[in-house]
Amino acid sequence: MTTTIGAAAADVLPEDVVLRVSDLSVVVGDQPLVQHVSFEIGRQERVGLIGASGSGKTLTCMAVAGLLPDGLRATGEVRLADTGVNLLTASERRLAGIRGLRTGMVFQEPMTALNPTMTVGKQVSEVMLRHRTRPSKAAARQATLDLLAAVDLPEPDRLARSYPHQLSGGQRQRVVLSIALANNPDLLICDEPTTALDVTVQATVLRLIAERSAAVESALLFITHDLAVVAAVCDRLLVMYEGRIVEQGEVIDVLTDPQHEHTRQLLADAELGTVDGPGSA
Amino acid sequence: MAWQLVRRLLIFLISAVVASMLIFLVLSGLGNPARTQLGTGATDEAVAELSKEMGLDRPLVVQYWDWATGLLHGDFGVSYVQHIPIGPQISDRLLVTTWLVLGAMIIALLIAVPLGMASALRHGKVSGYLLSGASQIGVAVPAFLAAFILVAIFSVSLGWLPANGYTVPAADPGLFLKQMILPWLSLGLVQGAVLTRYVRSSVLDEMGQDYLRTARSKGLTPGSALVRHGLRNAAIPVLTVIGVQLVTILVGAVVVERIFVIPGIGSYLADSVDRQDLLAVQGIVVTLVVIALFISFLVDLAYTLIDPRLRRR
Amino acid sequence: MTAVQPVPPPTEPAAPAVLGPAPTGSRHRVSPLLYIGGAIVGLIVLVALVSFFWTPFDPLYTDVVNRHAPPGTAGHLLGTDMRGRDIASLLMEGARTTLYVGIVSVGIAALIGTPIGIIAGMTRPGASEFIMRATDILLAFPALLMALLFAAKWGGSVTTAMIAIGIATVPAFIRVIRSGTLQVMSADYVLAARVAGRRGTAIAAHHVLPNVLGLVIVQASVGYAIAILAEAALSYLGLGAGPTTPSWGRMLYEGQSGWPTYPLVSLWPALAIILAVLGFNLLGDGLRDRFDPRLAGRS
Repeated sequence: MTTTIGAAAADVLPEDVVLRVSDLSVVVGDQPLVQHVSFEIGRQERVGLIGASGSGKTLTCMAVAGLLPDGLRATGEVRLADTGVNLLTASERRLAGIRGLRTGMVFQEPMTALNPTMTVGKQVSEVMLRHRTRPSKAAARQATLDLLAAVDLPEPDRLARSYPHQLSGGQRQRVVLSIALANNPDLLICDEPTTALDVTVQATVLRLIAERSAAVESALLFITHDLAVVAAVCDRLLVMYEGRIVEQGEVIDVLTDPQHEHTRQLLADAELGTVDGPGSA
Repeated sequence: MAWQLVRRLLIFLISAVVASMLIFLVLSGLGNPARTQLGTGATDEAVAELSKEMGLDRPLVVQYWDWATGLLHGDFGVSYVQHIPIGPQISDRLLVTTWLVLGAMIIALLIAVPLGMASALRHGKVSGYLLSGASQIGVAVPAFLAAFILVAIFSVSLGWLPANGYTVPAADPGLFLKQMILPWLSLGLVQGAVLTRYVRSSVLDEMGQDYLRTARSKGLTPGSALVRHGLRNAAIPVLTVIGVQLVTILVGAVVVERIFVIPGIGSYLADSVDRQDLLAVQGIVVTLVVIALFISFLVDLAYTLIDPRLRRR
Repeated sequence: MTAVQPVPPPTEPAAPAVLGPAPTGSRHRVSPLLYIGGAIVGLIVLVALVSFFWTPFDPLYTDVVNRHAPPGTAGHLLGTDMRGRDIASLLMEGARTTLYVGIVSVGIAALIGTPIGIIAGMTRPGASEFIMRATDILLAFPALLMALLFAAKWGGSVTTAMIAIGIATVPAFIRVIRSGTLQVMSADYVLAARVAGRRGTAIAAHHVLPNVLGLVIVQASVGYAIAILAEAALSYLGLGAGPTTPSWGRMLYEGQSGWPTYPLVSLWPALAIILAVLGFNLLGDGLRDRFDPRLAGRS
């Protein structure tokens, strides 16, 4: 396991801060993958984490989720509101108690995200029963139907009794979203949630992510490589490059007046041009 | 889903018929069974007489038809070598072998499931490699070798268990169990090693699956995620293997029955081959093959029950 | 693609990173199984080859004075059997039979099974289904059962054993090769070839066969182990190798009457069998690790 560094951060986060990442570094062997990353997310704030592949954004996201794979060494601190532990050093039991309750996750690939041999409804109810956020199985079942309806899935009752292979990619991703938000988490983490979806479905799922997370008053950490997506959903933006954060600020500022070379490069590649600002590449 | 069932049933039935034809062809169709029976020193008249008696002068198709329809009535014919009906022998001995095989399979599963899972979970660690290595060696040991060794240790050296013999369970359950322990272990330990490797590989495959990551993101520990989600999916490929293994055990029983002098269908087969009792061999092999096909049919059925993706509306 | 730019120094305060012991995290190591298995198989091949030129004693020579001799007596490295024959020499010659049985059985299975498997993978669904159903029927005859069937008809011998085991191993090959063929057929470059009008036989020869060869080798290794076990069981039942053919299984057969008073006669061939099966299994596993990722198109 890892060791905590000097007590620079307090155990308890201020009221308005949901997540504080301090000096997070992740190495494999002697190769650094994430270097000295620090940032905060405030309550109900929507933060985008953007960078090219290999920039370390997924690993950062995994570290925040408590799902770092074996074989990687992580140092630094990751603190979540009201949990009182450093997620990097906490035991698996502690982490398991936090995941799904205080954090919710949506991953990139919806086609394989659900257990093929379990009904959709059971998989949604499971997260509530696991953390006992509903008084009974029946209550969880009802909540499942409500959740499925909230993400605009048709015939929630029939859908709950279906198996994942009977749903489309977009529908599955919506199920994953409802699982992630079922227990009203403080933070919703999304890692490229729409990248694997059809263009026609992307907009719907994005809208639902923004709406539903706001509805349960959850903050949002949104990882993507797509500037257009991040511009639509997030308030603040972090740009990562080769394991470091090279720029951060309000979305509008970063996109209209990029400071770092890499950010400018990303903008140029996205062919977004700039919005309402001094013209540049 | 009913159509699936019917379809599979049809396949089973057709396969059984084709298999019986093949067996008949090999044993009664090729060459002259009468000559084989009497041996190379037989005179032509003796062969001709026996051929007439065995009905070998009739067209092959008629012979097959006679035999096959007889089977359906439970009439396997009368052995030309032992001069007793074959059918009752098969059914009696089949029961004995069933005891042997069931016990062995249970032992095999009791070993394989926990060890296979443990081995998969400890993948990459020292204990994982040790378990994997142990199962590799276990696989390489033929059942009869295991039998030899077990007898040497437990019967001859320690004298705890009898080296051979068989008693009907109804007559003396205690003795029955004592006599069956070593045979069960001989077959079961080896099968357990084989199954362990399959369980391990299947669980390893599941461990890399995305839906397990989703399960963990819900707050499940790796262990409980595996048990609640992974096992059912991992069971699917293991099921096929069990089906195949049942057949292998059945055949491995041939040797074990010889060693422990158990009057099962395996030793009946070996003895019949020794005696060149072709009709008996025919009946035994067709029985075993149909059983194998039936098990295969059952496994297919179980598949559809477990994996919803295989069901159609 | 973004150009590589020099990264500016981080504005966050630098903190000393404390390093802990690195956990073992190697993911895809080249399998040592391959080497171990290969070494064992190589050893057996070597012993078999050497036996053509030299064995410590003539395996048929009966040292009547030294029957059931313990290892080391009168130059008998591993002792002698109930007739005074040198066990070490018997083992060496037995290695020949072991390899011979494997080669012929697996050879039959591969030569028959591979083309059928390729056809099954390339032809239209109806025919493919038919082939697989037929294969399933054959699968219901395990190697030992097939061998017993043949032995009943044609008497027990190494030859009938090999042919029977070979035929019984065909379905395993068909299944594996067909599966591999399907994978190859779905690859982009094959689709391109088909669109370009290349004929089936050409595609089979140029694209499918080379890619599927790895699978054949893996399956051959596994099949070898099965063949060895089946022949051993057969000989033990007295239905395999005859008295003049040196065979490890035969040694077990002859040794059973002396068990367990004279354990060595059975123990040495038993160990040899276990070693051989282990070797081929490990080899097969190691080869599978090496060939698999390429076939699955992963790396």
